[in-house]
Amino acid sequence: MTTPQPQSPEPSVHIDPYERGWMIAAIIMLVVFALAVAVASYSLGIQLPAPEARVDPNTITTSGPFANPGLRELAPGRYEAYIVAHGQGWYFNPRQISVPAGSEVTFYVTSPDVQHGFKLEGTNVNMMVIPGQVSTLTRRFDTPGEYNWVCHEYCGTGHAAMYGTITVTP
Amino acid sequence: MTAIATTTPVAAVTPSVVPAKYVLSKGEKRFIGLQLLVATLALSIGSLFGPLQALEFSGLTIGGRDLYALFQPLLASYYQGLTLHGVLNALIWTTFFITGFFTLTVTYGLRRPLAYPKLGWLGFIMMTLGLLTAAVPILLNEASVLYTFYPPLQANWAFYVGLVLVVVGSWVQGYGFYITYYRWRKQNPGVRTPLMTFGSLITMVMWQIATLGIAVEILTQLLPWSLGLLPGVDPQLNRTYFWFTGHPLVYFWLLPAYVSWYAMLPKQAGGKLFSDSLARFSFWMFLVLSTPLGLHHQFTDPGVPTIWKTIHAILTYAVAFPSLLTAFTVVASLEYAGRQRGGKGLLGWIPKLPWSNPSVSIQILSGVLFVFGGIGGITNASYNINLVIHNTAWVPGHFHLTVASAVTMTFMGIAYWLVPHLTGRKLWAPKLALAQGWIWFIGMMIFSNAMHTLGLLGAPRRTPLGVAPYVPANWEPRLLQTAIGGAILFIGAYLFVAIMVVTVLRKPAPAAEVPEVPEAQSIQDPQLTPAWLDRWAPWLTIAILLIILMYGPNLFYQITNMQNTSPGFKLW
Amino acid sequence: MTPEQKPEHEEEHFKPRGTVLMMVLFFFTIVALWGYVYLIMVSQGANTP
Repeated sequence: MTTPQPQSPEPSVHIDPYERGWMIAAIIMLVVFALAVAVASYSLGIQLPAPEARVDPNTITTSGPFANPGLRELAPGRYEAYIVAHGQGWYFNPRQISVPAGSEVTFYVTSPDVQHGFKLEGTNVNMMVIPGQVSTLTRRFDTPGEYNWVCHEYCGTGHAAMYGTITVTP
Repeated sequence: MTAIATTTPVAAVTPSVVPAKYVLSKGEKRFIGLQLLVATLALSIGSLFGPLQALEFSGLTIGGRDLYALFQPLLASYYQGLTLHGVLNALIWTTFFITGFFTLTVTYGLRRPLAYPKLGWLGFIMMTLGLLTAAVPILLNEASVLYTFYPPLQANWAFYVGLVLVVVGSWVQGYGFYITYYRWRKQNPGVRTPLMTFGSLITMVMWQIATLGIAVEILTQLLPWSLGLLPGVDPQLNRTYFWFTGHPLVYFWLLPAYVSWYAMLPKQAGGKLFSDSLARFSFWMFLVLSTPLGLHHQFTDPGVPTIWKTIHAILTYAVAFPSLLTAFTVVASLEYAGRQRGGKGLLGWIPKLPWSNPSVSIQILSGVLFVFGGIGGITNASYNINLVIHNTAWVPGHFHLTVASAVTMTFMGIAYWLVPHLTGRKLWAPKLALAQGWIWFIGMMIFSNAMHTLGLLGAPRRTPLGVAPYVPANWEPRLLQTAIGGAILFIGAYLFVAIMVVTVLRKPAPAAEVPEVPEAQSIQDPQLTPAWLDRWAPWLTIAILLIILMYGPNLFYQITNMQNTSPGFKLW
Repeated sequence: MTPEQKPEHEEEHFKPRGTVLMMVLFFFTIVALWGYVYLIMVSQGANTP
């Protein structure tokens, strides 16, 4: 380089003070968002689905827990629901389950054919259903009523008809 | 400014031979114009299906039969239409427009022709052949798998071959850009790469790294499987391959819009770029961070450990940063322009902007919609918040604000000066073009508001809700709102197409009345931007290392535990 | 008047005050809309035992 002259600045990242302020605000905002998400995850138990088990989609309807899908009572007020999402015919098996209010239900869902989705209305139970994988999340039902779960991934022409219902009895 | 620019010693190393502007040859204009033509054709066909989908939501039937019954046998189903809409609008309109636009930003920015124009043509021909190859099975209803083509829904092999050709063709065009840049660099050591070229090259490199995901997906799994050479595939692994490409794909769409916002819009608005260094820094951040965060599309996937979902969530927050920075720099550039035009006070610069210029106004409006697109994006990426909206109508609501607003409206804004520039015609009916931007803006506000709300109410995406048996009453008004927004957008799309067609068919105009390429200067001489912001090796190294670190372990695990147990299904 | 005719300090001391105001609005819009969906998530409750 030539000798610096008074009026000739060296190359440098010139950041406007206002823009610097905005950068700091943006970073703080993102950090606070991340902390809020972590709190919801660890203190409130709102988690993402995690690997549960791998299965062979070609045999799930003939062997293993999905061969007899449905509701099983593990203990008073604690249930597990094995549900198969069928793309050939576009239905959940079972289509309907029923539990008394105050029950906690752990859903296990898989597919023998194509990808599906499983979203239980008004809850944070929202999972992809992928052949070869078992998806699981849990929900406690305190208020009597009927709640739908819907398939939310395209699985063929009859996709729009694909849903199921959990009835919570008083 | 100019005190600095003229007295600085750095200016002394700048060769004074850089010509003030570059006149594209006839062949170059034809080449770019042809790519825009294919893009616009794709948009005009793809946009036919948008209003059909939106009207279906309203439960509209004609003579007791659903809308799609009217179009048989031309259109077999909602899903054949949705596949056409997604593939043509999201993949073809964007990719062809981008390769055409980048041919301009590379040649004009560097003030030189492509080193090997034939390489550009080769790439374009491959892309076009790919488009035709994929179009055949889609039109025959043999590939109604939507633009994500998740297996084990199995399309005809030609669909996969076509997609590969489109992607590889775009790579070949990219190679031509690199060689051209390399030659320019050898002759111009120490000169900062012109910003429009700089942003375009980074986008192209990012794209070539990111598309390795679907290249591997198609070549090692889907293509041999669709040809019967592989009995089954691993659907979870294919989702991971797909989203390796799928998220950077949205930056491949978005960054060309940023090129226009940073390197052209300030000039069109009558001002200068507010910060050259931060513009370049943002582009590098996109190169580094665009790819190693794709798992945020798989938050609800059962086969991906939560630790990797967490890491990718954090990286997605990091990539929000350069977009937030872009918001400031672009708005400040516009404020500068408005003040140059006599705007006073805190907000007086806004009405002084050239709102009567259709190219400027549609790009500003696209930025307004992108505010909400960006907020939705941060929400989607926020780990467990994703559970509220994953695969609901919120998601198409979101990406209509990004790819169908920020990107598409900016491309339309570019076309409003670029097509006249290439054809030597004046833009037909500039007032109508101005109205077109506002119509799109209003239609999209109505449409995306309805879709986001539907999503929060739990409505699934990719579903003809007009025939779904579980639709509760509180969705109905929003479904109708979607139909209204979709119909307005359809008008906006076809106005654009009409303006383009009539413009091209007009008589040539005197050269002085044809718009030039708007190349924005920056307030500070780019030569004062440090050299490390114009050097590839460190950034490329970080980008590749980060991908290996953030994708490597999980991808290695998924590949070594691959279970090819899923045969193909055709359920449409 | 074109930028070139302006005295140097016009550009050197350009303070994007209007932009700051826009960014403040932007900031609160992000927080409000993101926070709205966050609260929906919280109200929908736990999905683990």
